[in-house]
Parts: sequence; structure tokens; C-alpha cells
Amino acid sequence: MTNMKRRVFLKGILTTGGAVCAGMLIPQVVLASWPTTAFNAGSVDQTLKDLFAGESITESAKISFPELPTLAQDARSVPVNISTTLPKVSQITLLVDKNPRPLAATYLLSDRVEPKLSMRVKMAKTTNVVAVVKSNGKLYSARKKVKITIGGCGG
Amino acid sequence: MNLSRREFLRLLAMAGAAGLPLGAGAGSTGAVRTASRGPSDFYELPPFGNVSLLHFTDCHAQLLPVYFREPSINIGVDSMKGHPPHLVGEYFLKHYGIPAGSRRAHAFTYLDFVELAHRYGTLGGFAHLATLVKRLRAQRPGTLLLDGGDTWQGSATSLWTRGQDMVGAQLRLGVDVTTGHWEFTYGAERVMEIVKKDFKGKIDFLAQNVVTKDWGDPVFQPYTIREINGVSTAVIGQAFPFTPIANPAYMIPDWSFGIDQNRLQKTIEEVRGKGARVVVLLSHNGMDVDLKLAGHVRGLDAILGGHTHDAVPRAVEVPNAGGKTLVINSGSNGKFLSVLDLDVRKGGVRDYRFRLLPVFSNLLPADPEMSAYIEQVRAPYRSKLGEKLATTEGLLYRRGNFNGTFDQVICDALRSVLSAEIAFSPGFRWGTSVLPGRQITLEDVMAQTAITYPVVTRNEMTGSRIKTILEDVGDNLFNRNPYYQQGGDMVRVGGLRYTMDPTQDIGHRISDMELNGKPIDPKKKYTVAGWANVSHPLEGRPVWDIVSEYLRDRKTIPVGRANVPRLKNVQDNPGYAA
Repeated sequence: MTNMKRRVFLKGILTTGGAVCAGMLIPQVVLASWPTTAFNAGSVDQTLKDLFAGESITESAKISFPELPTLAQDARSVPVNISTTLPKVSQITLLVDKNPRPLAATYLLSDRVEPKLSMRVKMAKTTNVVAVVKSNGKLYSARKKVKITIGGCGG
Repeated sequence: MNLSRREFLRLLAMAGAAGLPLGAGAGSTGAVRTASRGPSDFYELPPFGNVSLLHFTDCHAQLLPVYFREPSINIGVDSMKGHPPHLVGEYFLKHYGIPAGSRRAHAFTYLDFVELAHRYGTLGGFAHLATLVKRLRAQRPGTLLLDGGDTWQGSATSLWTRGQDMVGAQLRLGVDVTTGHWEFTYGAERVMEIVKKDFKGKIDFLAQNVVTKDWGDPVFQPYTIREINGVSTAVIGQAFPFTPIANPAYMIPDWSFGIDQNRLQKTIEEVRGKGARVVVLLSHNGMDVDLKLAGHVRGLDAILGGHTHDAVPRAVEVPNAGGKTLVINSGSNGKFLSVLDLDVRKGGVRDYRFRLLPVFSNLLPADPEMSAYIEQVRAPYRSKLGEKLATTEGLLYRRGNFNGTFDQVICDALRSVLSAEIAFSPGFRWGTSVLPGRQITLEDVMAQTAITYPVVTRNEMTGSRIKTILEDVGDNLFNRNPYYQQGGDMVRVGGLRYTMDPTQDIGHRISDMELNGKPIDPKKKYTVAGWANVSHPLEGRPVWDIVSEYLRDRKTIPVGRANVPRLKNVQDNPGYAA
């Protein structure tokens, strides 16, 4: 499991590097503080507790998933984009509610980075994806459902 | 003509009602003027405005005229309940003011299907459609003909020629623009071969929502802009957004599909920026998705849609942040042709007239050129197609949310030939009807089964797995949010009985599953026969072989009631006729 998560994590960083300006990310810092407990947590609540020590999180319409499919074409590789208009974003976290280990990735961003991320994530079944954004030191979140279906029978 | 004067006047009144002006002023003067001349022709339709679009969709490769029974069950849940397209039978006639027993009642509903089929004859057929298209084009210079897709699949000859018979028919009919869904089941290479060779410079195959998986580059041209009588008119294409889920993804391994509302919005802005005064979407979304999309994007004058096979006689006007979008869905199987006439001024579309014309084969003489072409493409297969397998004692049909009688025959054949306790057959919306007392030919069987992944399977499944499948497919049909619907109807079942409540959520719709009067045990394994597996290519017998073998052995087929589940919470639903 650890290897898989590490791979997903690294893929996330690489994707981010391609999507925005690579030089503005600080991957060394991220790797230095690898949140082992949070990545091993088995529920969204536990993950959030591990990552943010119980800080309150407000729902925000300023976070969106621009191209997230409603029905996943391939559950092994679902494209997830997170975008926000919140100011001074220092961290963006993605959780996949129904995955055995919900934390898919957490990004630490310099506030000069445009807060737009793209990644691909494996999903076990129909689930909410949850984005948590740290803006001006406060936490905000948004969620959207992705349906994983057996397929066939259409048309 | 078999059309009474009274019915004709009613039609005209309806045309007037359908043509409610978008802007201020402009009543239905065209209709009034014509009414005073009296009924001369079922297809008399005075030209209107300066931009005309003709649209047909989901013909499913039916080159010849067909019988096609519209559904008696087409349930809409939540906000969709009781609204078009979720109206059947009497509810439909009442909503649209169509007299019972009339030609239009026969075209649009299942009511008295057999009796009216004998009275009014077949519908559709490309030779008859061609005559109608030519007539309308002669009155409407510059008209564009839009084909909404699902054109290359659905018949024996389309399967055996890998869509080539239909490609030839599209070119001869003068299709200008098309998009796709079942087209993709011939594989990416075949699609590109047709698009780049046969269609080159003649037909634009458009899809703004198909991109490469790696870089998200467009696979097809997203739109075309044409000058029609001096009006710059943009058509954007929208292929079926869930093709790789509903059909085999391995056929199109490098392409990604989706509704892609944001990209569509950008595309609309792009074509408006290039000066398009009319912007329409040629859509294969399905009507519920079209209606939702119309409310969310700005700048579309009309969506001309298909996929869910809904024949909707009036355009639905959907308000949105940019004004209003007309949503039109034009039925299936070559039965209908939509005529959208737009009065376009400097500021854009000012008024419109819309009619969905049923294509009655005996009211429209066959176009000689198209007839000759159809004869020619069928000739090599004629004896094979005509093989008489059995006689049906009752009406065979498929369309509807649950089992049709033809599905019942397929499920019975699967259970019998493959010795399975339970059979599953996909909830396709295509598949023509066979009248009682007629011979079932191989061509009829192929019209229910002609797909590129036809191999039958026989598996053991636990009762709980069977429930999961029914719940999953049920949610693709009845999810309250159209963007989570996949299109298609409920999986057809043989042997198994169950109760369904379409108004519930996934996991809670299906109950009381039983086999031979005994409850299904979640832990017990049952043998289940099926076909149309989408996960990977299989070797084995195609389903038409199994069904043909079953029919040949029986000679006559008694037709009872289709195995429709017991339904809960639908008694007052206008999409349900018991």
C-alpha cells in the first residue's frame, strides 16, 4: 500500500509541475514532512484530524472541479481537476471518500502559484471527492460525486 | 389522403402553438394563411424565416421502412416526472392535443399499435425520407441536414458492411453534419477511415467532447460554421458522452469522452466570436441531459438531440443565463424528420417554427435513386436476410424502460439454449417491431442484436451480485440527476422476477427478487446467461445464432406478457401505462 500511495503522490507532484510553474513548488519541503499518519487513515474524518488537528473547515463555492466526470470512464484512472478563486492558497488536499485510504494527495503551494491542479486518481466505487483548501490560513472545502458504474447496457 | 380536415386544422393550430415567438411580436401568421387554403398534403409546411435545419437521429441503420412501437413505460422521476419526454400513451396525446387513432397518435404512441399499424402502414425508410428531405429543401434554400448519429449500427447489413451501407446512404441523402455513438463500436480506426475518406469534404463528423486521453487534444472537428442565406450559422457536435462506459472502451482505447459543459461553453463563445448569429448543438446526450445542459450553458439557440429515442412534437424552451435554448429530440429508426425554421435578424434568432414530421412510407413515394441504392447494397445478402425462422403469434417489440416481448424471446432463447436459470439482455432502445402472424426473419433478429460484441456468456453469480447489477443499471436509468444517467433502458431479465421502485436511491430500488417462486438467496450461486459484454473481447457464439436456433426449433412463437417487474410509486406517473 505504501508504495502505491507514494506513486500516486509523486504522480500528483509531477502533474502539478506540468500544469503550473514547476519552480514555484517546494517538493523538498513536502517530502520532508510526509504526513504518514494521514495517508494511512481509513476515513475522511480521521484524515482531516491527522492533517489539520481539528481546525474547523467551511464549505466554499469558490472551489470547483472543472472537468471532473459525473460517470467515470475508467475507475482506475479518473481525471480530477481542482481549481479555486480563494486568495493566498497555501495547501490543497484531495480526499476520495470511499477509497480504503481516502487521502489521495496534499499539495503545499507558494502563494504565487495559480491554484489549479490536475491529477488522476483510482477510485474503488461511487464516491464523493473532497477538496480542502487552505486560504489565508483558514480551511475551506468542496465535494462532488463521481459515479463508478459496471457499464454496458446503454443506448 | 387519410388525414381528415379537422385533424389537419388541429395540426396547424398545434404548429402555431409550437411556434411561440422567441422575441416580441410575430404570431403564427404562416399557419393561419395556410389553414384558409385547406388541407392538401400531410407534409405541407410553409417555409418560414431565413435559416432552416432538418434533423433526424438514431435511425439505427434502418434503410427500409419499419414498424416501431413507442414505449408504454418511459418513467421520469423527481423533477422529470410528467414532463416531456416522460409522457406515454394517453398522457402524451392529451399533452400535445393529438386525436386518438390518428396518424400522429400512431407515430408517437404505442396505443392500439397493431390495429393502427395495419391502417397506416410502416414509417421511415431512407427512400421515403429522401423524398421528404428533397421536398423541404426545394422550399428552403440553404437548408442544412443534421444527422444525430447512431446511423451506422442496428441492422444486419450495417454490421456486415461495417457501416458502409449507411455511409453511402448518408452521402446520397445529403447529410451535412453528423456526430456519433454506436459508430464508435466499429473501432477508432474504422471511424477515422470513414471520417477522413468517405466523408471528406462532404459530411462533417463533429464532436467537441471527444479528446485524446493523453493530452486532451480534440479527436474530431468540434464545430462547423456555414453561411445560410447570408446568416453565419454554427453547428457544434456532441457525441454520446458515456460511450466508453456503455459500450466497449477497448474499441476506442485512446479517446476520452464526457459531457464537457465547460469546453462547450468556451466553444460557443469561440463561434460567437467568429460572428455566428445562430449556434446550435447537434447532440447525442439523451433528452434529460440536453434539458439540463440547456439550463446551464449560455448562447445556444437550439439543441437538436437524440440518443434516448424520444420523439417530442414540440420544442422545449429552456431558460438560462443567456436567454433561451430550444431543446428538440427527433425520435428514432428513421420514423421522424424535424424541421426547425428560424427567423434570424441582426440581433440573432427572433422567432421560430418547429415541426416533427412522421415519415409515413405510404404518403411519400420512394425516391428512385435511393431505392436503387438500397436494393444494390442489400442484394448480396438478400437470401440470408430473408430466412424465415418462425411465425410470431403476438406483437414483438423492445422499446420501453423494462422488458419488451422481443427481449422476452431473446431471454427465453438464452436460458433454453445455454441451460441457464436466469438471462440478462441489454436495455437497448433500438430494435424494430414485428406484427402478429408475421414471419420472424433473420433480418428481424439482427435488428435486435446486430452489434460488434455479440458473444453470449454463461456465468455463475451470487444472488447479491445479481442485485448489485440490477441496482447499478437501475441507477443509470433513474438517477435524479440526468448527468449521472447513462442512457439506455433497464437490463432485460429472463427467469428472475423482482419489484422495483424507480423513485428510490441506488441500493434501495430493487426488492423481492425471486426465481420460480422462490426468493433469491444472496449467497447462493445462480447460472446467468447474457450477451454484449463490454469489458473485453470474447470468443464464442453470437447471440443471433442462439436466438435463430431457438426460433427454428419452435416454428411458432406464442407471445405472452413481457416480464416487467412489479413497480412501486409509479401509479400516477404519466410515463407509465399499465
